[in-house]
Amino acid sequence: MDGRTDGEVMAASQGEAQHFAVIYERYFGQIYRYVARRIGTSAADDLTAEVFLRAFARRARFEPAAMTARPWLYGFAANIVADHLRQQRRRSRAYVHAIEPDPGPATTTAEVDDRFDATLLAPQVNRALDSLSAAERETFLLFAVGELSYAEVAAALHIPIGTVRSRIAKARAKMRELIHAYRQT
Amino acid sequence: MTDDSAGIDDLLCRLTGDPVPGPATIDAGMLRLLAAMRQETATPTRRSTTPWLRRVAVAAAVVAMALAVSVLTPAEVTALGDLAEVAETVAPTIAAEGQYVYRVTEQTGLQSLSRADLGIGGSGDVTYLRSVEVHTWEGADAIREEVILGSAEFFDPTAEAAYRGSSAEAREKPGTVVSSERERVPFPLDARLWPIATDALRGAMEAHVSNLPAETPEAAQLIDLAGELLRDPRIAADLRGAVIRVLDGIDGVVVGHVDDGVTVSLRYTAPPGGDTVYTLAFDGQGRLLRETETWMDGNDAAGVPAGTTIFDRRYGIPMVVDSLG
Repeated sequence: MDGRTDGEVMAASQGEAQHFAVIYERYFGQIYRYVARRIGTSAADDLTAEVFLRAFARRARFEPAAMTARPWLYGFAANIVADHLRQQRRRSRAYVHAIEPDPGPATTTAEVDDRFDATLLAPQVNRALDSLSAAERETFLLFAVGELSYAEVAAALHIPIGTVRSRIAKARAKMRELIHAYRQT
Repeated sequence: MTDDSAGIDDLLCRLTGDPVPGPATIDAGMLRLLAAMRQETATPTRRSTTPWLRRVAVAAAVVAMALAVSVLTPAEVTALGDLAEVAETVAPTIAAEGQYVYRVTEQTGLQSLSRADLGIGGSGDVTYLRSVEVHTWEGADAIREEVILGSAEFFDPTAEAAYRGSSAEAREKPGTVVSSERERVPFPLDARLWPIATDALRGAMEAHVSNLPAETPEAAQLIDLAGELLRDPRIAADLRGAVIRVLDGIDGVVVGHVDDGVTVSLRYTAPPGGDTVYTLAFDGQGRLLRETETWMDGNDAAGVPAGTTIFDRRYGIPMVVDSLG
């Protein structure tokens, strides 16, 4: 196993491009999961690869002192997903979901229950996500769907960690309110 | 179930499942990445090998020797074309077997620390400017780099007070030397592989930047790539001249003069700096002396004041030495 930090790998890739393959191997699965959760698995194949192509092309801008490339990669992923959703909206002029429910089968009874509950709520969740500002939505989804820490979201979006906290709090409050209202009905 | 914060997050995760890429997806992505790597080191618009070999032979014959050149003083440079003509007569700095190209670079750049790392409350990361001095020895097979940390300059006095005496400051104590060595490989943007006719070079550069994120204007990508090519001390004289000619044709580029050289600047709008001015400064021989990037509006979220130069790199004149250190 390659014991180098991401920063060391990125620095090596400045001189010898193939080192960047290590970054790909380390993070492809994580980035894919985030992208697929946002836009579905069919488009995720292509767009996840695009994340790494962009990151590779821009690797000279990576801060070599950084220990991890994770937030940096998620920053590209967030932009690419946002671009994709904008294009979809322009093309179809249709409602495009901020997240893509997973159609995969549930394997346990508990999962079936959870999936049923979640699936019922899917339209409402997407509507609630759409009620957020773009900044709130991207911040919140990087945290909740991308499973980044506050600090990582801050690094990915180049915003202060306090802003991350406040955006996530606002997003949760709005979503809680809308979903609660739906459940009341 | 969804009436608490964790419940909302959990609901999203359950809703979106746990998609995992299959082997075919992973392989396909890797193939695209490998193609990009090959493209980076391949000839964008390859010339015949004859001029390439001729330039290498010439370079080897004049190792570290400057050709007889006519040096323009900055005041005499009326257009970048003039500077390009002079640049074409200046030999690159090439080390022979067992020698090194040594150069000192002074750099100041934007860095950040989380407030948690500094043990202070409030919102936002702490940003500051860190200066460093970089000593580089480039040999045939390896590159040795010594980075000597310099001072940290803060924008926010409260953050600075927290930084002083902290473990973060102890880690980054001025004078600390960070050494590294890495294998020498062909320059990713190998200067020998680019065409030297201005139009062809411009086309090759446009092709090279076409796969970069679209949020940065092409003109900015081009001047950035020009800087990347010009900062390599091994760049061939005719290519150095050609790159300067390409700069001359980039929309929005402004040529200016400073005491110690000629400047080429481009102002553009792109994240993360917004209204940004990027400047390359040359001496009278067309050698790159300095690069700067200034955020005219600053960045409130990052706590960077308007007009801050967030990147400033000054290149010393490279020289050939026989040993490390």
